[in-house]
Amino acid sequence: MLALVELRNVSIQLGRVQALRQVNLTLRANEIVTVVGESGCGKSTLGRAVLGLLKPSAGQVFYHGHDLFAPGFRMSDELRLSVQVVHQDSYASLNPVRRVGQQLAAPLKRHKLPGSVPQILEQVGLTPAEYFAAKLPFQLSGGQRQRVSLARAALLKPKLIVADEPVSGVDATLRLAILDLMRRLNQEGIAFLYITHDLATARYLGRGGRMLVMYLGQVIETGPVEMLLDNPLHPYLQALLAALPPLDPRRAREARPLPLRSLDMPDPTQPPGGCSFHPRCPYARPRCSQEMPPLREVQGQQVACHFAGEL
Amino acid sequence: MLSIRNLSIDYQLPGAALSVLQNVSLDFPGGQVTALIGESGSGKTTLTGAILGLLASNARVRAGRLLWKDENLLEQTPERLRQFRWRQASVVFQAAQGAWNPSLTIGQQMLDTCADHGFPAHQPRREMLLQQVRLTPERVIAAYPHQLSGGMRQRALIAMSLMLEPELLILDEPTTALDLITQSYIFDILAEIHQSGLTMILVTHDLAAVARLADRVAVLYAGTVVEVGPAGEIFENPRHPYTQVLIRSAPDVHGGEVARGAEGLPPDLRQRPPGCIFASRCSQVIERCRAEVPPLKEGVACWHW
Repeated sequence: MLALVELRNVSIQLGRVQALRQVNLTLRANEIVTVVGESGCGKSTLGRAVLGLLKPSAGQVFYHGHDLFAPGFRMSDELRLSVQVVHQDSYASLNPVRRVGQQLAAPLKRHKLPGSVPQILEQVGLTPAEYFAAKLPFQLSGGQRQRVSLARAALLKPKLIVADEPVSGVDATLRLAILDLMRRLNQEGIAFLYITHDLATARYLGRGGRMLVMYLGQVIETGPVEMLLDNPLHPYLQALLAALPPLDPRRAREARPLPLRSLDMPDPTQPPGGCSFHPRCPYARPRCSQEMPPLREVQGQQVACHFAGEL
Repeated sequence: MLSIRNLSIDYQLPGAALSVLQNVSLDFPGGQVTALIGESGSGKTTLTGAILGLLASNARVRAGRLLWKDENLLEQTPERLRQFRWRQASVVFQAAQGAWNPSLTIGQQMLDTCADHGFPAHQPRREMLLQQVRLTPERVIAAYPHQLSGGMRQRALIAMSLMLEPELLILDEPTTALDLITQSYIFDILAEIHQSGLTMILVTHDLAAVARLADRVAVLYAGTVVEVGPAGEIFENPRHPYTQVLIRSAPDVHGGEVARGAEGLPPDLRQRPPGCIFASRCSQVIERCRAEVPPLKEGVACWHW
């Protein structure tokens, strides 16, 4: 079966920063893939590359086997509509002066597609539908606006939704409900690329799926979500997990020195040679500053570390 | 050290008053870290604004007292409040970019803060504080804000907030929008500063920050304190149904069980409901909850306790 989206060795240059460096990613029908990493690691750039919004400086982006940037290739509407997006800031991504019902109906009209606005509102839990259809975005809570964003994305019956930090701006007690809604949409046949800095929601939404961990534009570890989080092999993922205080005051209050040599992220315009992580890595050896480690299989995961599994 | 007594604050809106704080009483014991937790619209920011005398112009204090060592801050002159800020109380806001003047060096701004408040410009103290937040003084003093990373700016801001030796430090979402690793060492730095006996108020919606730093926790919901107590007890045995939802619906990176969130929305603060403020979303609601406001008794405002 052809992948919905495939990135093959994609590098993307943004100004002076190599925001993506030789990234491979295959997204298949019905799966949930999570991408985690800190700000500036390239995870949002990866999302935009999957959306076909950025032309790679090297490598290729395929939709259903079609190379998007091949000379002369023109994307069909069907292909374009098969991938949709939900942004973090629901306030900025909705039209502030159009009622929810109107703005949901607009893309259906424009693309002459069948689809029912009341039905999609009910599907995302905004009931009674006619009540919410008449609202303007500012009259809704952050959680409700994000439901509208999901409704708008799902309305066009996409195969894949790229969700970039969709719950970061949503209150904690409502967050889970939005993640559950995404799981439900997934069961109805929509694949998700979930981009987040939050490892806990990544585990919750991505359970049973694959996870990619990014650092300075590269994928440094990938594999099943549970395996990665329970048995991190890359020293960077180990440090990230160690940085997360347990939600238990008695255990959280013991100071736990992080397994890092340097706390600050290097300048992304001049990523370190060899392994990008070596200046911060507590286990770095001479080889790490000379040779960039490729992703290789260790204990059922793919890890870009010369010494993974031996640490 | 700081006591809030029956504080009620409204925001005047065209045609209506928004009741953002309703009859709030809270103590902030000296030398402890008290966390204020709650979601957007819970009144956390209004509460710290009131303490610092920095309320929005349409805010009106309907009732209550704000006692700083027997002095009611709500009755003080603007000049006294200006002195209170920085000299007695200082604040570290979220997103440290906005707190700095982009056209002056970090070192200059730290000294200016002293001069503005009639405090001797103490250069050795500046260097000591920068070292305490694990910055290299030589590098940071001459730097402009944009030359530092977000985490470094936030640490420099923590150092600056301590220049005038305040007795109370208010941290308003100090690590929100920062990376995990940066967050983690800012927690370490704050924990270290706390050991010197500084009283802190930590305003946040991040439970990890609360678990790491707080001695006591006050839970706000729609402008009302619904529960207050030692951090360990609040996490282990939350009593108010809202606190239970808040604590137990946080997804766990180790895959632990999570509870469902609360359906529905906070109430319309233009017209507070007659009973418990959480009644409309509470899974354990009984008739009395809709009729009578439960008082805050033994740390919890709920008719079930």
